[in-house]
Parts: sequence; C-alpha cells; structure tokens
Amino acid sequence: MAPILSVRDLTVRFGGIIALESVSFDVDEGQIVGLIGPNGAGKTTLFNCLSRLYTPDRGEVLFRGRPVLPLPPYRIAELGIGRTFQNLALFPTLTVLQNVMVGLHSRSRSDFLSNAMRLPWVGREEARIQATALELLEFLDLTALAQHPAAGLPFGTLKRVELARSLASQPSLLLLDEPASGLNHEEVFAIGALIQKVRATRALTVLLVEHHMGMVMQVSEKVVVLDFGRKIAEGTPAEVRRDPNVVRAYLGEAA
Amino acid sequence: MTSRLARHAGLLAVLALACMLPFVLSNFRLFQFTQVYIYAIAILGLNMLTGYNGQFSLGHGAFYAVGAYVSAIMMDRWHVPYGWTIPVAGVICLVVGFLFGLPALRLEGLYLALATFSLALAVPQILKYFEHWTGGSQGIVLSKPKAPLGLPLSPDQWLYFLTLAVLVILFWLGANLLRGRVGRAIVAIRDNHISAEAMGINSALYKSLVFGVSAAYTGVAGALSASVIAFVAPDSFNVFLSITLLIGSVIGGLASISGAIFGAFFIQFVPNWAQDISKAAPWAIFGVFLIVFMYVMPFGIAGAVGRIWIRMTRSRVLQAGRDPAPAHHAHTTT
Repeated sequence: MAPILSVRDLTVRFGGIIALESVSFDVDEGQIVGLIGPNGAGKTTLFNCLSRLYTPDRGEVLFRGRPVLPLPPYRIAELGIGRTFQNLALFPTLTVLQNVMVGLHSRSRSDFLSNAMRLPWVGREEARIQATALELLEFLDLTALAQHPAAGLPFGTLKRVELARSLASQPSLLLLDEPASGLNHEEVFAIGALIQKVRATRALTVLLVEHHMGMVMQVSEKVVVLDFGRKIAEGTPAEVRRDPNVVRAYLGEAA
Repeated sequence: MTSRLARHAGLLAVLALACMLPFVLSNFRLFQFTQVYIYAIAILGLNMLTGYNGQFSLGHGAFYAVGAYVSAIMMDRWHVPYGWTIPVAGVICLVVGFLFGLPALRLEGLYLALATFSLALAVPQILKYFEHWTGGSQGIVLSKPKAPLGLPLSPDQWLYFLTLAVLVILFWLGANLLRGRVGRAIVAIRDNHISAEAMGINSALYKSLVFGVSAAYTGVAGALSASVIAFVAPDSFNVFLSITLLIGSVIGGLASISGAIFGAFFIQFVPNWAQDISKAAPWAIFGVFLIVFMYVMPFGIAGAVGRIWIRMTRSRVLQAGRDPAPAHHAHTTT
C-alpha cells in the first residue's frame, strides 16, 4: 500500500543555518509515527513545512501521492491533514464549543452572503456543525465546558480542546506537535492513551512530535529521529533505542 | 430559552419606542436621533473590522464621505431618486473597501491604523480637487426628500423612519453574519490567524471581504447623512469624523452589535453636554467623559450592560432553583 505521507529530500535553511537537510521518510496509513530529536533538531520546522507555514528550499511532500507544497496553508485542512500546536493556538475569546466549530470550517460551505441572509440551508449547516462539535466534546470529555471561553482554562484541558478542534475537520492524518509538553506525569500517559484511542476509533494516521521519550516509545509503531536537521535513524521504538547514532545524539559522545 | 425570549421582547419594546419618538420629539431632537442611527450603522461597520476582525481603522470617515458623495452626486447630477443612491453607495464602498483591504493585508496593527489614517487625510482634499463633480469646497446643496405615497409625515419624520428601517435591516444582516460560520472565522482570524488558516480559513480573502462589508456599512451611513442633512461638503468628512467613529466604537463596546448603538448615542450627545457644561473648554470636558467611561466600563457600554443583564437573569434563574445559565462573554457576543 502506498504511504499516506511521503517526505522527500526536504531541506530548509534560515539564513546560513540549516534547519533541515535532505530529510526523507514515509508514514503508512493507520500508523502512529513518532518524530523525535534533541532541541533544535528541526522537528517543528518539519511540521511547519507539512502545514505550509514554511516553504522549504528543496524537497517534496506528498499526501496520498498529491504534492502539498504548491498549496496555500488554508487548503491543507480540506485535504485531510489536521494539526495541533506546540504552545497551543486556540481562539481565546471564543468558547470551547465555538473553537471546535471553527475546526469544521473546511467541512462547511456557507459564505458571507448566505450567512447574512440566514438562508434556510445555512441554518441546517450550522446545526450540523454544532452537532458534530458537541459529539467531539462528548468524546473528549469536555461537554461541561462547552460554553466556557477558551481563555482561562487549565493547560491540560486546553490541550484536549485543541485535539477536539483538530479532529473536527475529520482528518485522515493528524499532526500533533508536542501533545505532552507542559503536562504532568499522569496527564502525559493519559494523553498517550487518548492518542491511541483516537487513532483506533477514528481510522487516523498520526505523526507525533514529542520530547517525552516514554510516551513516544509507548504509543508509536515507528520512530524517526532527527539531529541537527538530519535524519539519523528510523525504525521501531526498540530498534531506535538500540541505535548507536541515537544514543550518541541524546547522551553526547561516549566517554 | 427564556432569556432569548426576553431578549426578543426587549428588542421589540425598544423598536416600538423608537417608532413613537417622531410623534413626541421636536424636529431638532428627531434630527439628532436620526443622526444617532446613522452613526450606529457606521460604527457597526467599523466594529466588524476593528472589533471582530482586529483590523484597526483610523480612516472610516473616508468611506462615510465616499458614500455621502456618491449619493449626493447621483441626486444632484442625474436626479436619481435618493432611495436608489443608498444601495449604490453601499456597493461602491464595498468594492472600494475590498480593494483597499487587499494591500492592507500586508499591514498590521499600528501600521494599518496609519495607512487608513492617510486615507482619512486624503479624501477631503481629493473631493475638493474634482470640483466639477463635487462642487469643491462649497459642497453640494440638496433638497430634503418628502415622504412618499402621500404619507402624512414631515420630511424629518420620514427620514427618521427611513434611517430606522435601514438600521434594522443592516443590524439584522450584521448579526446573522457575525454569529454564524463566517462570524466565527472573522473572530478566529483576530484571535490567532495562523491557526485560523490551519482550520482552513482563507484569512486574506476574509480580511478583505470584512474590509469591504465594513466600508459598505459606513458608506450607507454616509449616503443617509447626505439626504438627512441635505448638504455635503468636504470639511464635514475630515479626520475628526474618523476618530469620532472610532471613539464611538470603543466606548460602545468593540466586537459588539448593540455597542454600535450605545457608541452612536455617546458621540452624538456627549459633545453637546460637554458644551453645556463648559463653553470655554468643551473638549476638556469631553476628554474627562471619555476617560471616565473607559475606566468604569473597560468593555464598553455594551459590556457593562451585558454584565448587568447576566446578573439579573442569573439571580432570577437562581430564585427559580435551577442552575445558572452559562455566562455569555459579554464583550464578544452581545
């Protein structure tokens, strides 16, 4: 089976600094793939290329065989790629429910004119958007907070809100940028279990950037390791853990 | 549900009251109220742009001027009935606003404020330059339209009702727009434009369209003012008008629909009160009013009213022994 996502020869430079150099890997349908590496390895840069926030200097990204890089950032969601952000990027003045409803933007059509006129089909679309969003809140145990503004909720809760929002567009590939960052020990494993549950119930493929090694190794079927912008290893968690390059990158040169 | 019913009942009561005013107020007072409604339409337009979408405009007086002149020139030159000039002014301002919004995409915050400010500076002078059409600094004198169909209304009463009707229609359209899918996207762009794009929102297109709609509202207000005042001149649309609209928008409550009306009352009546209090330094008094309002009501008048409303409905619900209704965020949704 063809991979759902292929990254080919991706290279990004910021001035003289090479953030990514000729990185290539595949993500197969239904997998959870972990992307790890020390600070500054280029993980988030790679993510930002996938969601088109950055334009790489060289290379190609194929989603189901279709090139992603020629598309503007707002066209990515409708392809079926959803994402969360490392430091949360919710809409603070909107309620939790409204945040998730914005997540359905790429799956709805009504425009300025039809919204302003409140045409009957707009009402039906709005009802569908709201019902789907409420279902997701239920799924992620957020129903009680539906009418609460996103601002002022605890960090761990906001992470779940962001997950709900990213699932709203019914993505087939979900990019999670450090879902465990800022969470305490229990929350980290809860979110790991949640990722597995989401993948199982919603037929998803997940690409996960994460610092928390325990969590990545626990949930991923495949791990890609970056260091200084290069891919230094790729394989199952067990293989990667034994890889001498990885050990060196994380622990420094053996004494 | 009951709170929504109460809201609709309240709106109807206010509307009924507004319909009675022409028969109890003097012509001058009525003219002032008509002017309030005109300002309210303009401020709602500005609120969409600045309050909901986060794009600052110090130049909405320019769109007001374009609307007024489109209407005046059509009436003066081609004898187009005033009723037709109002939608035309709206459409022309929609296009002008959209086109101005395109390059404005590259500017944010203070830079956009300055770009729009330069628009406000330039438009009165441009109007003077095309003297052949605009009558130069003399402006264009118009005649007040009479009530149609033999309605027993004075021109001032008729214009009051016309303005009120336009206000109701535009507020209905605006409220629909802002509360649905498009409205959420507009606020999402303001809150975080990067993740708004990741959700599939074409923020460049949305921002330009909001600019267009905002300019259209303000242009319609300008067109109405041409008929109501029966006169247009470049100097009535100076920079001060733009700043006045922004003051109304902030004091009434940014990102608020009802706030546009509160803000319009403020900019229409508070300068007069200031004048009554001190003939020598009315603007000093006005400044004091401004500061006090901002200090007492940081989310504008609409925010304060919304908060009182929540407190009232909440206590009523609590008395009925049910859970309190979830608090609406007054400063974004009222």
